[in-house]
Amino acid sequence: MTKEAIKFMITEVLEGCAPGESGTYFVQGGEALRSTLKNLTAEEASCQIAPNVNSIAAHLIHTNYYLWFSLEYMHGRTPTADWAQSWAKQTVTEEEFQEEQAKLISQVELFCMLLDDKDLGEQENIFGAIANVGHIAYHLGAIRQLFLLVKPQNS
Amino acid sequence: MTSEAIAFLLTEILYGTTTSNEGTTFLEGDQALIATLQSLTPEQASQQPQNLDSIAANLIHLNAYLGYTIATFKQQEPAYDWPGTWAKQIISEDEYNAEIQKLQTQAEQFTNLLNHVPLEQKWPLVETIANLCHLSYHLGAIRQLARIVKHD
Repeated sequence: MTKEAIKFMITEVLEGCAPGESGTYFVQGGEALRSTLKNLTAEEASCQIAPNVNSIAAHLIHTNYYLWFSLEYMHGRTPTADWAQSWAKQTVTEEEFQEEQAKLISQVELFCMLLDDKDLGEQENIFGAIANVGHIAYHLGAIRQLFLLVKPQNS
Repeated sequence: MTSEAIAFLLTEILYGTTTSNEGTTFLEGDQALIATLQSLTPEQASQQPQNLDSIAANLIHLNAYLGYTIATFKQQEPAYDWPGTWAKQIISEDEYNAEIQKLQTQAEQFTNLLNHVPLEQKWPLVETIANLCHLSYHLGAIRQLARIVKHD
């Protein structure tokens, strides 16, 4: 049941309203991660609205890095993290932006597939799985604020 | 195990580190919700950069969402008023401190209720994880707003 609930929430964060459902727990359809990113140009996603504020592109690249790191663990490997580096790139070309979006979708799909093979009775597995959903939700919250600032007509 | 994981992550979102001090899954202490809110003045928390909802409004909305969930967990039927949860944007110092305290109290109530919620059933479990994600979402939003209002 826990796996189903985790997959349900990660789908809501990514896609908004789940297929066959009439509502959401907290993300409206157009406010979900996939459609938010789709409504941005690479130039908008690369915009740093203040010197100490990371761009949307940087949030996306970092989210992908965190997911990759988790997937490595789920595969039984132990990667070395470089979290500072995961924030290094702030600007993306149109092609890079499309690639990062596609990577997000494919990594979330892989995460859901690998989750089915995991024993969530083990502490590390369940903490990691729920933390991943929370981590993506955190960056959706950040990205939505930045989205409204770079596209103020959507406020 | 599921309720333990949820309680652990809730503590991390609010306080950054756990009592066992074993590190965090994605938040450092000063990046967590309570420390972020306490680092702001009520004036900063009441700012609306480019007409966005203020940090205070995000906090009040979070408390309302958590309150509705707690009521549901207690088998009560709360009177939902979602637009009302976003109505107040400006906050006094007393109100701000009271809202931060309310968040901590409600998070504790939520954690205590986890042992009484049928987490073996899909929807109570989804609602519980949704609360965690909702807190996490608004922490992400609040941290961006905090950087902007502090920069100003």
